[in-house]
Amino acid sequence: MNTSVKDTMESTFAGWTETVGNAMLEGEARMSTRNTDVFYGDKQAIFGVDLDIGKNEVLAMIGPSGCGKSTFLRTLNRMNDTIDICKIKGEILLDGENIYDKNMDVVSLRARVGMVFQKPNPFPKSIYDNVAYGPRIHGLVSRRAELDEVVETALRKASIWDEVKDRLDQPATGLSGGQQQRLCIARTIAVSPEVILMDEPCSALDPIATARIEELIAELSENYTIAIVTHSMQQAARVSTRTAYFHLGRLIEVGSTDKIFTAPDHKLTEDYITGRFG
Amino acid sequence: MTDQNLNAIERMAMVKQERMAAKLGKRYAKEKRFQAYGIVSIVIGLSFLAMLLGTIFTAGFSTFYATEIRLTVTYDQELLGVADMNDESQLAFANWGALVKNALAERFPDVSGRSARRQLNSLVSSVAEYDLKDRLEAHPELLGTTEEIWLMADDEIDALMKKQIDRDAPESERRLNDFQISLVDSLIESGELKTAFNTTFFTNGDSREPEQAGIRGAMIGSFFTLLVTLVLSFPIGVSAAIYLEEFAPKNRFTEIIEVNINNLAAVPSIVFGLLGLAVFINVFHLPRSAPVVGGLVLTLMTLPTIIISSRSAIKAVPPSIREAALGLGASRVQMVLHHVLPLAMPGMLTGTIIGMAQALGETAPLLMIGMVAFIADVPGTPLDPSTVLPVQIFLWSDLPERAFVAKTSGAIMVLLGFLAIMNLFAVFLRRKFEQRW
Amino acid sequence: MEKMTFDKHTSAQFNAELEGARKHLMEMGGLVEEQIEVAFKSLIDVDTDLAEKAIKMDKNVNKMELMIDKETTQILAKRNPAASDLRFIISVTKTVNDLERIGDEAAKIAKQSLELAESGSGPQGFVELRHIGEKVRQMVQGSLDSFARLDADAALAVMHQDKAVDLEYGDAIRTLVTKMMEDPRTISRALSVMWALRSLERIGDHARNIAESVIYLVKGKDVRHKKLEKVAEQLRK
Repeated sequence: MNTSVKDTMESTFAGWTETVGNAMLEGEARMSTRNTDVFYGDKQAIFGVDLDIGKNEVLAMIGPSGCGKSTFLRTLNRMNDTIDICKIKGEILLDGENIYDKNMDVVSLRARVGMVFQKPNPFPKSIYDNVAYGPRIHGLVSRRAELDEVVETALRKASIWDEVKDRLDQPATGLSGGQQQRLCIARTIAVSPEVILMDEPCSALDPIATARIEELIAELSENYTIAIVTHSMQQAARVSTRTAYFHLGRLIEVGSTDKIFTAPDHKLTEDYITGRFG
Repeated sequence: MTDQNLNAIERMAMVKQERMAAKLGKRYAKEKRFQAYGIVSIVIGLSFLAMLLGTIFTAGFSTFYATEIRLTVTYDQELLGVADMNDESQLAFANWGALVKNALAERFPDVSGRSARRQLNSLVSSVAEYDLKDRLEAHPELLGTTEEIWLMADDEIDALMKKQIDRDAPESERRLNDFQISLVDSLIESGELKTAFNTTFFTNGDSREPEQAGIRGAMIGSFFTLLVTLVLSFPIGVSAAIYLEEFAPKNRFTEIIEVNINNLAAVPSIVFGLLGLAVFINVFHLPRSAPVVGGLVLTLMTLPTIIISSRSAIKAVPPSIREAALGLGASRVQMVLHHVLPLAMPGMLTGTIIGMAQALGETAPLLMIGMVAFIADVPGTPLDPSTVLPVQIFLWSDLPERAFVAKTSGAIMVLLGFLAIMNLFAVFLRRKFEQRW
Repeated sequence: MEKMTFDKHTSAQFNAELEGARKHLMEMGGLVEEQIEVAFKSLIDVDTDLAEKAIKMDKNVNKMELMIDKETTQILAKRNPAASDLRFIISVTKTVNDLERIGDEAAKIAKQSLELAESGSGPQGFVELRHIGEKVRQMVQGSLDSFARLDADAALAVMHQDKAVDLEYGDAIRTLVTKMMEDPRTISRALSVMWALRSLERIGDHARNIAESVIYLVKGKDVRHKKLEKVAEQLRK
C-alpha cells in the first residue's frame, strides 16, 4: 500500500474508535472473534474485529464490495488456509476453542463449521452422491441403510426432497440453480455442522429461488447457527436476527436487524443502508 | 432551430443516414474480402494435403497387392537330400531351390539352355523356396507327395503386372526381356498367375528382397516402444502435473521448474536421443536398438507434453468444485482424487494420446540409439533389437529397388492410419467422459 | 447523530422523489395553516363568507392528501427505503394523515361559526376561544416548522404546549358550563362555542402527533404514549 492511500484510509477512520452496538453477546456465543486481523501479504484486509455469533442466531454481514465481509466469513472455517499469503492474527473461538490452534484439525473444523458458496457448486455426480459425500469421507455412517436415511433427512431439511426423491441417481448438474443451491445446503447439513456459513448464497438465483432459500434459512436457524454474507440489504433485513456492517475491513456497527434497518447509529451504516454516497 | 443551436451529436444525427450508406458498401466489401482470404488459404492448405496424400496413396497402394505364380511342386526327398525330416540341420541345408526349379521345368518343358533356364527360374522370387520349407516343416506328411501351391513371383514380374515396366519399350531398355514376358503371358493365359492381397507385407519382418519385406517387425517394435513410453510417461506426467498444480508452493523454485518444463517441450527431439545414448546405453548399459531404450527416450520427449496438457486440464476444473470439497472437510488429497482427477482425466488422456501419437512418429532420437539397424527378425520382447515404423520408412526410402518406393509409401499409409486412429480415440475419450458443470 | 439530509443518494431520482414528497407536505401544511386562520377569523368576526371559504379549502387539503399518499406509496414500492429514508416516509404518511384531520376540524369550526351567525349574536366565551385558538395555531405552525427544520427540540416544545392547551381547554369548558347553568338561553350558542373549542383541542392533539412523528424521524425513537418528562430524558441521551 502506498502512503497516499494509507493516509486517506487513516483520515477516513480518524474518528473510528470501536464498533458501535452490541458486537459482544451477554449469553453464550457459538463463535467469537477477538481482535482478529487478516492480512493478504502486506495488505491488511480485516482490522481488529471483535464479534460474537450467538447460538441459533442468523447473523447477516453487509457492507460495500471489498469491505472484507467475505474474507472475514472465510476465516471462520479456515477456508483462507488455501491462500498462501493469507495470515490471521487474534483469536477465533468455536465453543471456546481457538480454531487456529495447533491442536485444531482443519478437516474436523470444517465438518463443524460448514460453508455454502456464492455460486451453486454441486459435484458433477449424482444427487445422492453429492449429499452422501460428507458422511462418507468422515466415516460417519457404517451401513448403506443408515446413509440412505442421512441423505433423505438432509434433503428433507433442505426442503428439496420432494423434488429429487425420484431421481437421486441422476446428475446434480441437471437441477436448476435454486435446486442446486438447496442441494449444496443439504450437502452441508449432511455432516451435521454446528455453524453454517453462507457466502452470498442467493446472488446467482432468481427471486423465487431466493425466497425459497430465505425460507429455508429461517427453518434452519432453529437447529443451526448461521452467518450469512449478502449484498442484498433486503435479504439481510428479511433473514437475520442481527446485522453487522463492515466498511474497509472494519466492523463498524452491529445490532439487532430491526434497529440497523430503521435507526442505525453510525453515519456510515446509515449511508450504506439508505444508498447514499458518504 | 438553426444548426448553431445543435450539439455535435445532433448535427451528426442529421447526416447519419447518408454518411452511413456511403460507408456501408465499403464495410461489407471489406468483410467479404476478409472471408475470401480465409477460404483461399484453407483451400490452398487442403490442396497441399490432398496432393501429399494422393502421391502417397498412388505410390503405396500397389504394395498391398502381390503377384503369385501357381506351381505343381513335388516334395521329392531325393531332390531335397533330406534323410531325416526331424533333423533341423538337414532341413536347413536341404536343396529347397531345386523343388522350385523342378516345378518350373515341368511347367515349361520346352525351355532349354542355361541362359533360358536361368531366366525361367527368375520368374519366381528367390525367397519363395523358404515358403516351401515352412510348409513341409508344418506338414511333414506331405513328403513325397505332389501339390499345387501359389508362390510369390519375383519383384520384376510383380512390377510388370503393376504396369511399372513398359511392355512397349525397346527390349534393351526393359528389365525383362521378350522371352520372360512370353513366359509370363502364357502363365496369365492359363490362369497360373494372379495378383492377391499381400499378407506378407504385414506378417514379415524387414528383408533385402522387396517382395519379402514386411512391416511386422517395425509394428511390433513401435508397439513395444509406445508401451514402455505410455507406462512410464503417463503416471509420471500426471503425478508431476498434480503436484505442481495442487500441492507445490508457489515460489521461485517451482517457477523455475515450470519454465523449464515449458522449454523442454521445445527442445529438438534429437537432443533427447543423444541423452538416451549417453545415459541409458553408455551409463546403464541397456541393450542397443531395443524398444526399452527407445521407450525411455520417447518418455523424456513426451513428458513435457503430458505435463503441460495435464496441468491445463487440472486448471480447467472450476475452483468452486475444490472449495465445495474442502468446505465439506475433505483433505487436499481427497479433493484431488475424488473430484479434480476425474474431471481432469479426459483432458489428461487426450494430452497423453497426442503425446503418444507424436512419439509414434518420432525418428530422430531413435536413430541416435541404434534403432536404425537392419533387423529382419520380429522382436519378441522390448529388450530385443528392433526398429519402429518411421525408422523403417526412413530405411526403405534409402533403398534402390523400385519395389521399395511402393513399400515406403505403404508403410507411411500404415503409420498415418495408426495416427488417425489414435487421434480419433482421443476425440472419442473427450466426448465420452467430458463432464459439464 | 449528525445532521440529517435527504439528498446524496446514489440515485438522483430517489433524491427528487423524496424532495417532492417533502415539498408537497410543506405546501399542504401551509394550506392547512391558512385554513385554520380563515376558519378562526370567521368564528371571531362572525363572518359567513370566510366560513364558507374555510369549508371549501378543505377540498384542496384532501386533494393534497391523496397526492402525497400516492407519492409515498410509490417510493415504498420502488425504493425499499431503509433507516432515515424509511422513517421519513413513515413520518410523512402519518403527518399527512394528521394534517388532513386538522383540515376536517378547521372545517368543523367554520360550520360552528355559520351556526353562530345564524343565531345572530356576539359570542360569549370568546376570550378563551381567542386564547386557545392562538395557541393551537402556534402549535400547528411549530410542528410544521420542526418538520421542515428536522428539529426534535422544537417538536418537544410543541408537545409541551399541547399539555398546556389541554389544561386551558378544561378550564374553558368548565366556565362555559357554569354560564349555561346561569343563563339557560345561552345554551345553544355556548354549545357551538364548546364544539369549536373541542375542534381546536383536537387540532392541538394532531399537532402533537406531528411533533411525535418529527421526533421519530429525527431521533429514530418512538415517543408516543409516553410521559413528557421521559421523552425529554430520552432526547437528551
